Amino acid sequence: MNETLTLDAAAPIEAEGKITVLSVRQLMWMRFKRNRLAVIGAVMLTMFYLMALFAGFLAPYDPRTTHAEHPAAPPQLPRIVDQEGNFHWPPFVYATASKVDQKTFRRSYQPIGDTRYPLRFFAAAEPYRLFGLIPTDIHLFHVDEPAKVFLMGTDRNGRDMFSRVVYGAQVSLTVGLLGVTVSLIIGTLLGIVSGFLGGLFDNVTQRFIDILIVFPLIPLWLALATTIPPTWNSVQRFFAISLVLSLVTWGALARQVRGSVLALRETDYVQAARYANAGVWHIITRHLLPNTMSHVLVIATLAIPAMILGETALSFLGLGIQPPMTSWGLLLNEAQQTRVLLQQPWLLLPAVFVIVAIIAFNFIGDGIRDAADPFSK
Amino acid sequence: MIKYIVTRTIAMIPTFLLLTVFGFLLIELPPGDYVTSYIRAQAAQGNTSAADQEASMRAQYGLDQPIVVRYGLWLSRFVRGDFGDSFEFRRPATEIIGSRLGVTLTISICAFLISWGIGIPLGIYSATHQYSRTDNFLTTVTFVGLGIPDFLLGLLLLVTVWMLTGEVLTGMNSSAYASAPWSVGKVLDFLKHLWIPVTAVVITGTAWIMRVMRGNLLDQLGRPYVTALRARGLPERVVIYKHAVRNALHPLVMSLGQTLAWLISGFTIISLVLDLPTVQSIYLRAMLQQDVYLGGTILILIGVLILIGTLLADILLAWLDPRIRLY
Amino acid sequence: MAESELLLEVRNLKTHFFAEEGIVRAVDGVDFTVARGKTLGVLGESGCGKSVTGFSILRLVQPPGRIVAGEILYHGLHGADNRALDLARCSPTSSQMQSIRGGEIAMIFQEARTSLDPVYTVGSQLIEAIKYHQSLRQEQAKAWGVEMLRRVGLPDPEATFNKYPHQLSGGMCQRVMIAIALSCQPKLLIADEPTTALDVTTEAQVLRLIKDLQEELGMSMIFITHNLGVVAEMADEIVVMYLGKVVEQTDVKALFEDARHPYTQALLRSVPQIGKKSGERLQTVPGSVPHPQNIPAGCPFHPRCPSRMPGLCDRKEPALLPLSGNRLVRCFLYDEDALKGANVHVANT
Repeated sequence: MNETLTLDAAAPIEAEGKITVLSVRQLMWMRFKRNRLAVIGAVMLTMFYLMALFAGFLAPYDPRTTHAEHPAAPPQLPRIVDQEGNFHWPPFVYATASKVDQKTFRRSYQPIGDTRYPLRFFAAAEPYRLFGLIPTDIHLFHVDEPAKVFLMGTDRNGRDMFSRVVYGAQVSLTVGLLGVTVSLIIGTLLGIVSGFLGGLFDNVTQRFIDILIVFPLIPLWLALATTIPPTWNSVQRFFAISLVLSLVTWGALARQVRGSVLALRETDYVQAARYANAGVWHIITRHLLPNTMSHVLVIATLAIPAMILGETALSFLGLGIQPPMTSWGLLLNEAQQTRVLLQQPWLLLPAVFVIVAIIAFNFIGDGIRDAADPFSK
Repeated sequence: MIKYIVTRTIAMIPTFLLLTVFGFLLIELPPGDYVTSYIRAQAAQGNTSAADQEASMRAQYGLDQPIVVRYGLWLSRFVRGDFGDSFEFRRPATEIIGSRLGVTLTISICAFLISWGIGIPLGIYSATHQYSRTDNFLTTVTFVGLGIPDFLLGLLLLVTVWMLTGEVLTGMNSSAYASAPWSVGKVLDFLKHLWIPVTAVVITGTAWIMRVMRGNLLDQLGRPYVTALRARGLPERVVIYKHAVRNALHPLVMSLGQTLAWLISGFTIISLVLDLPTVQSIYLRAMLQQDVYLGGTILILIGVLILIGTLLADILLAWLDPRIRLY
Repeated sequence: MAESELLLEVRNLKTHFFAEEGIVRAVDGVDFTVARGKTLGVLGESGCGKSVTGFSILRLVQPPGRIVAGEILYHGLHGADNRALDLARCSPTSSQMQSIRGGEIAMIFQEARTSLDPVYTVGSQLIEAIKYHQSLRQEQAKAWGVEMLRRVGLPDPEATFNKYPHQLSGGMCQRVMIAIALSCQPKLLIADEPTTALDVTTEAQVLRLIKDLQEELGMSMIFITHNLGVVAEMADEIVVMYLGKVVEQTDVKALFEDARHPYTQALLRSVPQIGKKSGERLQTVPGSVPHPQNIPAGCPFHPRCPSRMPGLCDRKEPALLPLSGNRLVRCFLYDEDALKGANVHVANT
């Protein structure tokens, strides 16, 4: 229970007093910071986005490089204790070679020799462009050939899963943001227009949104994703997918904005602005939008995890992101075949990243929702 | 009441038409049609002669008509109950859907009952013990439950079972029982497969319902009437269960309306991953193969179930909540 | 005041809220007494802690708020030793507390409609309350419920009995609330701004009704309000609260004729009066109530006080001083010792 409410049910005077002490935005930030889970979520997401931003630096290999000698290699963590039990620093790996069992056809990896290959930090290796702009070849860590460092193993083509996950973050973490942006634009515009115009346009739009809001997402996404022409390249597809994903929210957003427009249109201060001959655009941007922003923000934040989930699901089914781009969902696509998965369970590791990202966004969304309305409970 | 139901049903007709247009367009929008993908599939198998049949196949399926005509033809048959044949299986869409309804509903109804049965009491407990250790624990579990896509849970369960027992529990029956008539052994085998998808769906579902229930109840507990009831000296359990919970259930009734459609459209990807013979997996397949009538029928079936579900939920809510006037 | 006339004594009551942003001292040392059959008016601006005081008496304060100190002595129970019961020491969920709530001390609220459960009929909520406090059968409880609705002046009580709160007007809802509150014949009624949400005509009717029923049942009342006119009409004794503290206690006549505390004086000046020169501007209490976490040092009222004495009021907190005529005031202006000791310059009053 909130102290404001408890002190007195009719507390307009006090609410005003509160604003003079702290601005609404400060109050929101304060409440957000108090929410431990929201802060944890924010920290995790910051790390994830930094990872996406510095993908080239963090990834020891190019995500497309195939290590032909090392297909389906299991994860191999650098060691600090050698086979004789001696301690070494920096951590090191052994070079490995694969052997296929002639009876079971199962591949296994064994160390060759006892030469230690230490991790080299800030080492020069494969060239890449940092932020897609600055050409460089410095990686956070690397090992000398013939040894390899596959933190999360490799796929059946011998591509380093860790590097692919790091690069995949670029797609998986932005597709939701892009989707939300698109839905913000569509939802806000449609909401304002339908709230202001009313009449037939409003009626048809609302009927349509009625279905859209309650329609199960996955079947709808599937149906829409199949409409993307297969001839499109992976960048075009990326944008198309985020457009498809934006469907989750724009209906709800448009409804929220429309509701606020309808309610606010009648308020005294908007009426006053009208009589003062303020233009429609002025009323919308100065009075209507700021007043709906907190609700819109909450709906938008809570929609991002659904979008990440959507991208994962679509790419998992092969209907989403296409190579040469990579995303977490696309990586999981390889784990789809049960037989493959049973032999290479590490292919499920990208799922951990998906889950953490979704949880982090949910934490933040919840924190924002609680903080957005500082005067309610 | 009857008048309300009739007017509501009539009001659903334009929405239904909008839905069919929407559904038809979705099916028509993908580039190419079934013939294109059929020829592509044949060519992939080295059968090039299929390309010669292109025009005749199009005519056979009516694919050479303009889109509006095709929609009209399709809709007129649709409302008469003829939902068209699946291109791929060459059987009526209804037959294919019908044959899969049993398994689909078994999984979804089990999952629904379990997740609501667990989720609602836990949500109530969480809300009435807000910020207690258990509440914090449950809230954290909820977040994790909501964060894990159900199909990944299904995969995880599958791999775990395989590692522990060496059995791969995909599908709904082991190969030994696949075509066998129903027997005690087959039922047991069915149950052995059933729990994996059900568990995967239940975990996410429970997390969701728990969160909704907790939020609703907390909202109700903060209302003035709860304080007033306490001020009258009513025991806490009466205040909570007879009054606050009762009010907190109302928003859930609306989502009950969506559950009807969910029964045949939830866990789509799990169905694929676990190779379950459900409506969802055939929908997915139809969408990928551009099997227009099958996919379209399922899509519109989902939409119709939503319309019916919403109507039922409205009626139920009107019956439960005296504030809602029917006419 | 003789012991036997006392119904409720509140001594040094402190109810604090341990909110995320810090401790809010909503009620911070409140003392008053309620005599049998009399009405105590609790007057103050929004946010001064008057409602929390009411909630504290019935032990309805929910976490993060709790009573941290003080006694709430209830003399209404005729126990074997005839001792008073300290409600502050009862567990809020105990059966004893539950039988006191509604049975001994009832409460009515500002928003009558939202204080009724929307999904049950008025009648079922009445019966529910009656049956918890009296061993009556269903039909008896129902007959009593209808009777109560008749007594609060609702037209056609049988029909109203089966109606839902949303089907009644605000005034009717408040009457229903009163009927429920009084159905178990409590000895004390806490009325928390019961007429604030009503229009003026209805307000007058409801106030009349409360007053009549009080006389009829011989109950005591704590009447919480921010409205001076209402308190003048309803109360015998008045306590004026400011930021969780009682700043002045007196009988109603003395308050309106000779208010002592600068805050009370300011409040009185802000009420329009008949006979005042037209054209004269109505005065307001300068400034606004500080945020409860931002309570000024010294006398909490000093930043808004026209008679503040720099060097004294902003340093020390005044105590509640007894003055002649059985009244109390919390202000240094009446504290000879403090005035002498501090040797301050008195600002022009």
